[in-house]
Amino acid sequence: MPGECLASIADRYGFTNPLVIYNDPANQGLRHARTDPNVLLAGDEVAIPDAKMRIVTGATEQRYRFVVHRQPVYLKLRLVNRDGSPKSGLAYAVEYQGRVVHGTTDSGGGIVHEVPPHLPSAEVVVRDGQEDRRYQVALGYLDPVEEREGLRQRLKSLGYYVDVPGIPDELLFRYAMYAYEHAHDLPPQHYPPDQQMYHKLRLDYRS
Amino acid sequence: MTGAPTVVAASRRSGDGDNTVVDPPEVRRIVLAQGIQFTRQDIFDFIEATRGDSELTPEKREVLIHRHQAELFPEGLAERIPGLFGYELGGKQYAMYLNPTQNVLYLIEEVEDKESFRRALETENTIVVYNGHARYGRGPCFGLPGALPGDDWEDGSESGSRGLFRMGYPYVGIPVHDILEHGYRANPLPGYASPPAARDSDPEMRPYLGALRRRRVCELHPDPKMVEALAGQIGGTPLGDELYWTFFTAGKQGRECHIVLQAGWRDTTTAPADLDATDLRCRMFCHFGCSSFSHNYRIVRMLKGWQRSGDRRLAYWTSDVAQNTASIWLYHLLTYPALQAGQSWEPLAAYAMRQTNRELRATGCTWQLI
Repeated sequence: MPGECLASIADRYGFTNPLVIYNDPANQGLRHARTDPNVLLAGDEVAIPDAKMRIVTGATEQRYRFVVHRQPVYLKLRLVNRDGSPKSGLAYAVEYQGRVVHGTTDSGGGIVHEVPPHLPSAEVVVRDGQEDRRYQVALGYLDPVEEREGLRQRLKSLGYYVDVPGIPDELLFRYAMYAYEHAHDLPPQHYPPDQQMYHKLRLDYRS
Repeated sequence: MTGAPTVVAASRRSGDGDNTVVDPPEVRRIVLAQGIQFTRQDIFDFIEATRGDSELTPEKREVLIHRHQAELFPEGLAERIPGLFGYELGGKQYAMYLNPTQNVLYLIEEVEDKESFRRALETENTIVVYNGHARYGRGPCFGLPGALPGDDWEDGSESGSRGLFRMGYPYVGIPVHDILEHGYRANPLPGYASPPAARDSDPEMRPYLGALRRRRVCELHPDPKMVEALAGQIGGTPLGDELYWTFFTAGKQGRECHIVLQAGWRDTTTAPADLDATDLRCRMFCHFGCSSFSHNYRIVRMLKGWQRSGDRRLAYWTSDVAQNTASIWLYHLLTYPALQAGQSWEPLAAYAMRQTNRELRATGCTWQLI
């Protein structure tokens, strides 16, 4: 389903660590197709392994404490300038489900905040100079880079694709690819691009 | 930054990796309005004609062809700006260019008709660049490729899309040869009317106000055939007694007769395609027809009252007979090497003007931008 990722699926089926699902032998094909376990495509088939029963013995009339080590899920953004330099030390606010969390971007321009595994979106407001920049972050909706939509999403986040009313999306997409190629001295190409561009995008976007 | 937030897709991370976000570029729209005889097809035709002109030396031919090619949109700009992406949609030419240093995405549209030009002038934040004839100050003028003789050189055979967008002084002195050569119907100032006052006259006509005389059509041209044609175009009769305000100038090709035509910028024959009827809301207007500063600056800035306000209502003009200015201007505007997104347009415009004038001087041009 759109918006799902291994973390949300694992949470739904009671797994504390999404990698248990990802590394299950039945998901060999998935691992091959999706090298980043945090990024799935709607329609991907994920085999859910049987939950393992853990038998714990104990005496009656006693109280026991069980600690579950759950793999946390984060909203992670890295804010950078066009030249790749980090936007560090900027005040920000992350808003979701009625909560507001304030912070300052780290030395790498990072915003890292633990969120519920099913959280569909969060609003991030960053104070940059005299301006507030607002981002609606659609969590779990990032498609794999090899998909057209995934490529478009990354080009948009990196400032190459812009939604412009009245201009066909196909043209905006073509131009975003062209501008990215030009900015990085990549050979001109059409969609789907070659591995060189995917590789460069993975490096720039970092997932 | 106000308005709707930027929507970005991201992955929930439970391990390494990030979702990298760069400030989205600011989008700016440029409308390049190509006037009559400056359409894309016209430029192609000029290039072909120059190629076939055996009277030119090979060097001169190359120079002229190169000059015409520089004017072709978007090819001319793409030649100088490698990241510029030109495309055709619905028979119209467009270009996109992302300047990463400015963090601005420019969307450039070429238009060749009066209505699109007028709409661009009324569009908030747009940069409107007119590249074409000044028509002796009457205003930007639009027509079909080939520029056949006819009313497209004046009020337009289709008033909405062709002909003048009037933004001139009420009275303009027009050489008889222009009326004859272009074959349009003109609206002369009849002799029974008072002669035009200096404040209502185009600056190029003012020196001749003392020499204004009422003349009959037959006095305006030595060739009877031309007199007949002229009479038909100005609504008179070749041997009639109708009088018109006229004057003679001494030009390079001898004495030349001019007729005072009724022009103007408000309540004109081309309304609503005139300055007064247009709600100028664009951010920058560049009139790169010949001597536009002299012809139109005062009308737009003082009489229309479209005064500069900070980095809004910017306007640029030419100082003299000009050509090929738009492509040079656009090049320097698009390649300004500093951050522009969210910033004042003033340094951008100042840079573009400085660099354009520098380039014009370096290539021996006699005009400057003002």
